[in-house]
Amino acid sequence: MCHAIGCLQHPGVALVRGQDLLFDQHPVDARNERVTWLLVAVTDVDAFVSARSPSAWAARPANFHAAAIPAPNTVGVEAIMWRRVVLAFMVMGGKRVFVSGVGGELGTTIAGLLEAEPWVGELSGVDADPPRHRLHRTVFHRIHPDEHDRIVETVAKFNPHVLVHVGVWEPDARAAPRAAATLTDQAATSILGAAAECSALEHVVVRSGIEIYGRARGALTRPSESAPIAPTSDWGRTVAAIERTAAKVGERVGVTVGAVRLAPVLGPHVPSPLGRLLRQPGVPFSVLADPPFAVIEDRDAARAIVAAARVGLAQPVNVVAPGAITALQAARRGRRVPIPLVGPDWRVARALSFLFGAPIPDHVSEVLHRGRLADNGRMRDLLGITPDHGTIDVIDRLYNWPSIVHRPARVQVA
Amino acid sequence: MTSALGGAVNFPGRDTASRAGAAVSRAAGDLTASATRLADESAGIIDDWGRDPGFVRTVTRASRLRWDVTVGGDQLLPPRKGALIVVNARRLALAPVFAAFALSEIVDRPVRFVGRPDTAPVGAFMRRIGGLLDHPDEVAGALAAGQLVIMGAEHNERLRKVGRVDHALIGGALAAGVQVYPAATSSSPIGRDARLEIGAASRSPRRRRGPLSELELADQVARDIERLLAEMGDIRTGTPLDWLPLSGLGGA
Repeated sequence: MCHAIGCLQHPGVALVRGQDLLFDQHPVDARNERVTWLLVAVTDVDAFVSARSPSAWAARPANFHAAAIPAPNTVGVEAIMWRRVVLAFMVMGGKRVFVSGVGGELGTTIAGLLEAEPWVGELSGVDADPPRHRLHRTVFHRIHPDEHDRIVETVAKFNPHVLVHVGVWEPDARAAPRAAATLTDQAATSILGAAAECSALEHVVVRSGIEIYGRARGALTRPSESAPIAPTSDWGRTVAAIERTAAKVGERVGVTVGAVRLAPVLGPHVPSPLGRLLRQPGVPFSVLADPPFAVIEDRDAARAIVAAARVGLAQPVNVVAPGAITALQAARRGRRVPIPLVGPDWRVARALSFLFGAPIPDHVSEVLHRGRLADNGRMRDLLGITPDHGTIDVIDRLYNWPSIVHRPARVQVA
Repeated sequence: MTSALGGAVNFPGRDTASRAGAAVSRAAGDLTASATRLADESAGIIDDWGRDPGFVRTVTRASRLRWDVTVGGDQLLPPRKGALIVVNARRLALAPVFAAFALSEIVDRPVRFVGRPDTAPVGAFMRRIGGLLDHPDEVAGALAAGQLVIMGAEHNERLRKVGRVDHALIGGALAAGVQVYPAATSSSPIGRDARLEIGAASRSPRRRRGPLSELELADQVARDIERLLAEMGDIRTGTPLDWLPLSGLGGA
């Protein structure tokens, strides 16, 4: 109450629920608690906020509703606030965010983006491998997924507000299919289970995939988020299981769960069986079908997951780059040799591709035979962002492998 | 398309807000895609539904050997938004296909048709030329993204009559918040002349809160197509064949 009045004495801003957290020149985020700002006595809220706190304005949630109410007297403020007449601006200040799978390319990129988010306080992560890039604020714990006790201890000790679970292993990306399924299951069980024990937990974001819709005969060409879940590949079943586990945790502990269903993630550094296959000197394609598929660039995928954490996504969303391409077209763009295949040829092609270091797991085989598209129409609404790169761009960038950049040493020692 | 009523019915009163919101946002989000002109489409790439513009151009040119289509009423269609166009169709006449090719050239926008199979190589071929699966969600997704979609009514033995219009697909249009246009087609199995006449958007005779809306609108569309067919008249060959009711010429 006092803070609210005090804040009103400061021009134009009142505080609703936070205790020590005030806007602008006031001390901010003393307790890492969520604060809800109620703007009063301001006629032009947008201008007011953007002028006073550009960073907060830049980080405003997608569903931000600017509002202004007449300046109340100090007696009326509390009543107005607690009746929630106006919910103006919700800022999450100093959230503790835990990222599982922070060692992977996607996880590291996500952690890097989260470090720049104003609403993120402490940041921690876990993975079996160290991060791919240098992270400044993130505390990294190197723990194997089968070390349940250590994972639970680490997560429980951190007590996150937001859990970002990207600790999933795509088959034949970093591990063989069987090992990938085991690791993914172990990580999901341990981390989501541990997060469920955390009292501060408010929101969970899980990385999923559009493989969850399956490509059975008669399946929709571009399934939206409301399409039935009917996976037809191991990877699809894996991400469906993750979503199911996360949903159960959400129901049990009463937190929101958002699933980011990513198209195949490609990037020059991303371990992807599809990317590896397309980069081979010869690219096999189905001569009878050559179906279209869509992909997403790794950084766009990371931005989407960070946005999901920021806005508190509470439903699934497809994250797919606009446009589509076929294997034949991709091969041509990459100046690879397209290899037309029919029926039994594929068995030979799979074996040869495996020997050349680009195994073709069943979900990639499905892409080449049945295609993989998804409706990304709700991405902008739910996440407030759109992909920077279309599918064609992503494929082009995949082939434009960056060369090694030599930087001279700052101090010549020899 | 023989879906059961329960599987196809949308209950507008239950989730109209969410469906409409999603549809509007999708339509807004894909505005640029829906406004794509044929000239802007690059050869060698395919669009979000697997349509290959370069291949479509080739097939369209080839289709002129078979059909010489006259199109009318295209000005009634929305210039940017999506719309579902229902045509009368005879067995093996490929009315939705030639109608899609002809209309696409006239309105300078990609036009898709409903009814591709999901098996290679025919399904893959038809997807390349703009075919969509015969599924309400597939149609609703394309319509919500601002696409023009043509679907065919079922075949009817009587030339001036229109077969059943799949109400589930009409329900997809309602869910996407787009209008449904009746269109009459006529073609000859032995000649090149064909015609596509689009009518004003059909409206359900009554406002319904439940699944009756799509059923009644489907019936209304069929009636509107029959009216258009009556206005078109039959194709005349100038021979006594025209007097035979089952000559196979003209009409539906």
